[in-house]
Amino acid sequence: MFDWEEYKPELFVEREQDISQLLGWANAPSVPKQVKSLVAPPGAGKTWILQAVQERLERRAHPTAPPERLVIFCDAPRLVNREPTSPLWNNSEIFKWLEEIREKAASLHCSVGPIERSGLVEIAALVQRLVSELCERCTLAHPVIVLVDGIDEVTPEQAATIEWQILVPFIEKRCVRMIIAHRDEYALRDPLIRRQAERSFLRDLPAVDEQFQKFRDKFYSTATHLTTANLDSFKRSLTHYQWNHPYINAFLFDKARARTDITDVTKLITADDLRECLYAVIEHRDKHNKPRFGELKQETFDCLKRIAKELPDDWTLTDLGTKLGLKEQDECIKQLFQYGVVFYNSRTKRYQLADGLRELARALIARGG
Amino acid sequence: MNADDVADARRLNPRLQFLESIGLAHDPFATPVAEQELKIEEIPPRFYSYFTSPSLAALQDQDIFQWLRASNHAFIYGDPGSGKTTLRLTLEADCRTRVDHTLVVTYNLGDDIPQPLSPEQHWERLARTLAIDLFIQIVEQFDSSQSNPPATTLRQLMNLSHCHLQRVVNRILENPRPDSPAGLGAYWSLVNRPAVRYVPSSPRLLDMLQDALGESPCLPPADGIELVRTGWDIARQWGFTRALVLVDGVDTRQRTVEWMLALVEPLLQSLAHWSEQAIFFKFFLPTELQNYVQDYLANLHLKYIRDRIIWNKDALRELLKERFRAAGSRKVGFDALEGKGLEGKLDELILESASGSPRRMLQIISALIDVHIARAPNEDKFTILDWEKMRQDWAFEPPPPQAAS
Repeated sequence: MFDWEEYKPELFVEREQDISQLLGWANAPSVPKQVKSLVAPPGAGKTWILQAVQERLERRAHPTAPPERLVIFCDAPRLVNREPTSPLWNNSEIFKWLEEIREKAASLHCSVGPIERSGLVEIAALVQRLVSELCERCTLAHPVIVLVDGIDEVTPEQAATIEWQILVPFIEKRCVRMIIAHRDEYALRDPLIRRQAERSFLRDLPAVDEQFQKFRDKFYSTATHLTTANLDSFKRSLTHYQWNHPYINAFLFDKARARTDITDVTKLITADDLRECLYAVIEHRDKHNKPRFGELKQETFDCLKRIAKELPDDWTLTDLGTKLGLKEQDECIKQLFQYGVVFYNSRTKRYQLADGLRELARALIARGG
Repeated sequence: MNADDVADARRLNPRLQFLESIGLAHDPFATPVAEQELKIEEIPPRFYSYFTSPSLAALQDQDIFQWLRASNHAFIYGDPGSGKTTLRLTLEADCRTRVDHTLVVTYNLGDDIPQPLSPEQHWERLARTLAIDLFIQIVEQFDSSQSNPPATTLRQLMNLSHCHLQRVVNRILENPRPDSPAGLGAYWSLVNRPAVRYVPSSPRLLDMLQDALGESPCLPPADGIELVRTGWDIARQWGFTRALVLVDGVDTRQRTVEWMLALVEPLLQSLAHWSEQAIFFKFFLPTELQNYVQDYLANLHLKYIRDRIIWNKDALRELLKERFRAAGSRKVGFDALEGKGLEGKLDELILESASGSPRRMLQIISALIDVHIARAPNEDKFTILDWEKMRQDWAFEPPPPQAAS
């Protein structure tokens, strides 16, 4: 199975403009707002960009070498229990995470006190103490950078608690800057974070040929059935899809790569692949193969196909009602919003399906899927 | 309120039902008055999510809080409903959540005061409010504080607060992990302060509070300027290096200009003294006092900043957008809700009719929603009939909003 984590950002994402902008912000002597909110639809490469930013800021001489500056990666889903009946915090993971931060700080000659694990001290107090020590006891040459990923992949209650009890204690001190990656649909809940957040949208992807070349060099440099010479034919075999979505591109390259027995490159991708790809992007399964936003229901998938087929690229709620007989409150529409597949574009003031997914759904329909 | 209560409230309230049908998870237009919005029981208070910076000429590209948090006295003037109290409350929340050794003290003069206060009365009141705010900020920042003063300092604060804090301490010790998203912040309402952040408890904090409570009864202190100095000495021991005193509520209760001037005069007179102590006053005053206060200050040779709150259309549009967003909406204005006769112009009509006043804008929207629900609760679009009826029934400050045609 294709794995989200398999693709190293420097090999595949190559969104130099976005990465440089974030690095510039992280390295600036002063910034007007302490938080940067990095907004992009699902699968657009937010995680990869955060990883790239972390890697470049840390500038390790080799993978096990100490970092040059303190960068903290906060994977929100890791910090909470996913089962509704369990306690909210995943204490063992949180202690592990705090310990990692402490060790990383120590490698930068910043010694902070031990993490109290008795359970008597609340998580928020532990974070508050740690951040205070980082900012007031250590003489770090650069601001601490906290990269927050997946805040939109936990329940609204969990997200609010993470913001309120973990992220706020980080930004209460001026020595910390934070980048929070999330979908446009996710509204930051904590008022302080909202006030401090400057929104930044991901720019366009690099050319697909360049992406393909990176992919090929890294993963199947010896393959002969799909090469840069016949790449155009392969790309054209998918009507509608514009090769504008990094995860979908990687998924389709990967499928094509595996089919070494097929010589006709226009037949490397099947309708089943397209369906599977849509499910994979939308469900965004974690490393335990659990869908991060819950199983995609058949009715919701059908709803998505109807929107892709019968509505233009962007549309109003009236269009949704008159042409499809659907309302904003209908379960399938609510679920598509929750997945981030449908969103309201505040610039055009119209609704739309996320770029890439819309075209992929149309490609699937064109193949009778 | 749990999820079932919320669902029940919706069933019984047509306004909430309608707002839900247009994609709003709560009513962001319920009241246009800051203190009332803040009283709505919700943690964190959604009120803070509504904040939008007004247009202040002095700001240029600077962040409003950075500007207001500078170490100088400040005078912010504004008409009724222009958002002075909202700005004061949000500044207070900002200081309490982005901490930099600054103590923020709210000095609200909006309560029922029979006559302008003497200097002594001011200092006694200021010391009391300083003690309460200092105690709260010590507890909020307890785990990040690098200072370690004795528990007796908290005891002194309890005395300075005229024993109001004793109740808070008792409640914390009775239940150090209340079932509230604000943690110990849930107890701040006992001393009339909002919960602006999560406040964790820890054994070290509880031990200190227990020691502070002690056996002896709480003794309110005598009056005088020394009280403020005592409170400020304790603040310094806890690592605070400066204080911002936010003065608000001067123009409540239909006070005359002369009365208001007499009320603030002792404070103005002492500003030079307080700057030497690193205590800076931030006044939120009605526009009608601007000329008088500025004349008064001209004779004091003080360093200060000042500005007047203005809302241009862009700032009001931003405010509207924040309200929609805070209520979880995917829309950021009324343009998707324009029905017959209002096509392409409802947002503009609202913004124009607001005449630069956020309060008036919220009154217009709220009245429009009520009229619409009375006419056609099951339709999601507003029509010219709603707008005209809202104008006819206009019960707020004249003139009524402008005609739609």
